[in-house]
Amino acid sequence: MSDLDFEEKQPSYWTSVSVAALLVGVITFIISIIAGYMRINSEPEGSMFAGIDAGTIIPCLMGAFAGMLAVWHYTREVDKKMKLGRGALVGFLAGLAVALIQTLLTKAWVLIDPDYVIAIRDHMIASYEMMDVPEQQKQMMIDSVYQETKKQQTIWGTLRNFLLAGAFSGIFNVVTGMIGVKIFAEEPEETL
Amino acid sequence: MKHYTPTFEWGIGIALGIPVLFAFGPGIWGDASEFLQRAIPYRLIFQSLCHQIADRCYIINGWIMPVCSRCLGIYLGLFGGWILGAVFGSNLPTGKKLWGVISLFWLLLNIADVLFNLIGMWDNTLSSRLVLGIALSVSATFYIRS
Repeated sequence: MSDLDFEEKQPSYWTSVSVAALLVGVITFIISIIAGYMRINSEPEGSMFAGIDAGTIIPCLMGAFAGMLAVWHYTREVDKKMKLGRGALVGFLAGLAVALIQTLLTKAWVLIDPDYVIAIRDHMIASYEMMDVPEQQKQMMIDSVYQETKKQQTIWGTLRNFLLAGAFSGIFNVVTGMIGVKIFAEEPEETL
Repeated sequence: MKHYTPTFEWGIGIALGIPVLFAFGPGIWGDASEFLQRAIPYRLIFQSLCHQIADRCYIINGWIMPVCSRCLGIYLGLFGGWILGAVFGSNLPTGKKLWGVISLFWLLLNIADVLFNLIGMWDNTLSSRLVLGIALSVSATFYIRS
C-alpha cells in the first residue's frame, strides 16, 4: 500500500481530538480554579504561587496528556493503525484545543466571579514583593503581571494568550501524541 | 533506532527547541533581558504546563525562570534526546520494550520524588529535579524512535 493510499483511507481524527481536549481542558480548568482559590485564601509566601500543595502540583503537565488521550481514543474507537506523524498532528491539535477550551472557560469564569482575576493578580504581586531577588527585576516582574492582567481583559490580549498557550501546549502534546502511537497503535511499515 | 524523513526530523527538532529557548526566561540574554521581560509574557506561556513555584525555579542573573527545574529538565531532555537520537541513533541499543521499561522507570522515579517530597519523606533539590526531568524525557524520545 502506498503512503497516499494509506493516507486517503485514514478516517477522521477530529472526534478523538475533541473528546480528549474537552476532557483534559475541563478537568485542568476545574483543578486550576480550585487551586486558584486556595492560593487567594492563603498567605503569600514569597513564591509565585503560595503553598506547595497537591492542588498546585497535580495540574502541572496534565494538559500535556491530551495528545496521548486523543491517540488512545482514536486507536480504540476509530482505527488501530496510526503513523507516528499522524499521532504528532493529532497531539498538536489536541493541545491547541485544550488551550482554546481553557481560554473560553476562564473567560466564562470571569463573568461568574469578576474579582477572581484581580484577586489572583494581587496575591501574585504580594508574593513577588516577598521574593529575594534584585529590586529592579522584582519591579519589572510586578509590572508585567499588571500588564498581562490588563491585556487579558481585551479581545486581542485574550487571543494572544490563547495563541501562545496553544502553540506551547501543542508542541508538548506532539510528544505525548507520538508516545501514544508507540503505546496504543499498530504502526504501518512506513512509519511516517 | 528509527530515523525519519529530514522534514520530520527537523520539524520536530525545531519544535522541541522553541520551549527550551523560552524556558530559560530573560536572564540568559544579558543586556536584552529587560527588553525581553517587557516584550514576552514568559509566565503566561508556561502557565498551563508548569506550576511555576518560584523556589523550585532556577534564577539566572536575578531573573526567575518561568518553569520549575523539573520542567526545564524535561524540555532540555526532549530537545537533546531528539537530537541525540537523530545523530547517534544507529549506535544506541534498539528495542521498543527496552526503552519502554527505561522510560517507565524514570517516570515512576519522578512520581515517587514528587510524592515523597510532598509527604515530607525527603527533600528534593533543584538539581535532583532537573536530572530526573532530563532522564525521563531523553528516554521518552528514545522510546519514540525505538
